[in-house]
Amino acid sequence: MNVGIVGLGKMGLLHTAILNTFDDVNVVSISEKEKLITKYINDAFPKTKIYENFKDMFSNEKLDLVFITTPTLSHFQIMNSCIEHGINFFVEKPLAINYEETKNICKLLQQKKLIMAVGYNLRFVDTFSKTKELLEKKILGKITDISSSILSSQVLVKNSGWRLNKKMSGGGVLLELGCHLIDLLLWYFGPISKVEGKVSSIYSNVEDSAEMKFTTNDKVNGTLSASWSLKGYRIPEITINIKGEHGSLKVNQDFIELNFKSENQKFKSGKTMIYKQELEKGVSFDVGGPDYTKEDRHVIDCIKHNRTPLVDISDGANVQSVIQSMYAASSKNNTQLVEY
Amino acid sequence: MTQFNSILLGDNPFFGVDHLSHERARLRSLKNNSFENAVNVIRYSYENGVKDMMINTHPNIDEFFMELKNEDLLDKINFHPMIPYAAGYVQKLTEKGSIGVLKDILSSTGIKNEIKIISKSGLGFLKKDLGELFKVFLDVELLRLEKINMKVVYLHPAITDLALSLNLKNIFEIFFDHLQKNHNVQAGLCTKNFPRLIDKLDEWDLECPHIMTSFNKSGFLMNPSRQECETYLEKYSGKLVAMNILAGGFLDVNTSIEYIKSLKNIDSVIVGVSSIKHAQETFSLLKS
Repeated sequence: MNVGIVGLGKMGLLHTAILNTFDDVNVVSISEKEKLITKYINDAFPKTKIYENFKDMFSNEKLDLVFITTPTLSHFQIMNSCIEHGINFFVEKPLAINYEETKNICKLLQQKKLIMAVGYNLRFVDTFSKTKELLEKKILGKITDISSSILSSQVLVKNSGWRLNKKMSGGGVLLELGCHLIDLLLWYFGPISKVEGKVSSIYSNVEDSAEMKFTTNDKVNGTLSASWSLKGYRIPEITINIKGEHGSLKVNQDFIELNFKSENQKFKSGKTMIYKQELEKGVSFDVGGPDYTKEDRHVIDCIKHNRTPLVDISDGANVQSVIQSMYAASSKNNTQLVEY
Repeated sequence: MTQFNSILLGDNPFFGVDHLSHERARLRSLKNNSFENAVNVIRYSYENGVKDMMINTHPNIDEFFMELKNEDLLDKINFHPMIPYAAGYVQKLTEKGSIGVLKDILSSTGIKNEIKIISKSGLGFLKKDLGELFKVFLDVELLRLEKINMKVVYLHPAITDLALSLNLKNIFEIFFDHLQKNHNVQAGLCTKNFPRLIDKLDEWDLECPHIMTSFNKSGFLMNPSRQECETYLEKYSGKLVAMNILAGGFLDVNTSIEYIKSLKNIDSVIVGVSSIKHAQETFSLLKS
């Protein structure tokens, strides 16, 4: 399978590295417009064709799949071009800088039979995928309450970089990190019907923190806290606490903690811990975390076997809609219904 | 049963890194961020024959070295640094983007006279050549470690495995050669993909006398599988340092050490001990 990469920043390099280890994938071309980077690419990838412009790459190369790993601002234009050229694509999260763009892409995709995937890699983290499995088995019974957070120390001073520039990123912590958490919440609990809350900025012209309340279509209330400006987080920590009629479940990247009022399916009464070490099975090659390898393997297999990816365009669009509603709820100081 | 050539103290417990729970580590470090306990454990270890320590270039590493120097321990320990501090670079990439980080590395050369490369070729040359950039990157990372006794310097798996996946033979050649010639220290590789690394080194006809990688009974961070890693361990002729022997704190010490001692060809082990009591138990099991 011939793959092209658009954008060789942190995520582009990571996906290129993983794809390069797959026997059934050839990374045949890379598009990168930053000259400082392309100077090094020629050294590093002598057999790979380098383009300054992605449109030239799409026209000149026979590509089965494109990985879009550029700043969010350019996603729409590149996705649009992929659709025009009839090329399947994977796009890093978030899908676009606003919900309008995602709606337009969804419309364009309806006319073409293409496979596209969005980079919500946390679905491939063992503890989060195991939680999905447990929730599908209705292990907690009826869900009564959800609290969730994504917290990090990424932005503790005023800084540059495209992620902190609203025109290029479309938003701050909610769009950059919170989108991962919202994707998990939608995956676990289905559509969110309404949201309210506040976003605030400390260091940048995008939001550095967000405190939101939400209600699912099943009338379950939940909360979401997102901040990238808290001290002490070596890596971002994602936590979801779920309460149900049979007990509770807490999940983060490291473990699942279950607490049941009485014996439940195969679990004993009281506390049970499931650590990532028990769940991890090894991957063909690990660079940047096993979840990324599993994600890329999954995308390649979906293209090969014409299957819908675990995270497709509608999932990406739904996340974007929830975020857009949260921004609106914050600026208008009211409750916003979420459109899908 | 294997007798190990050396036991290396791991640095994670002293810097708030916990692979079982990042949450637990963060809460602990909020309560206590001094190195007093670390100094006591290191002194105990030294007095009991454990004189080697693996170290990452954490943001507060200078403070840590200063504490050891004040306690007259710094010169007595053989350090096995792992460079670069990957979490720091990931953070910088998020803050500044790839271009910002590249510019930071390039600009740091202008202010450090110790880095000789500029005098030879100038910054323009550096901007075109990945290999030269990598040398500068190594020089910048090693500047912080000038004051310590370095036994072997390991390349962090984030770089080893990236270069491995991209077939960048040149990066490995430069790493081995530059550390030996310009820093007079042995080079080692740390990887999460031990079998593939061995295959590639063979293919490239490169020798790496020191490899650090995970070996534990639960197969944690052993790719593609524990079985494959065990098979390749028998083939490897260099010195293998086993890390994550407790699977990040998931396994108990007895089970872990029994497993690691059952393997042939493990030269040394890294153990993270958070207290003197913990050190006593672990060392006694490892040495028995």
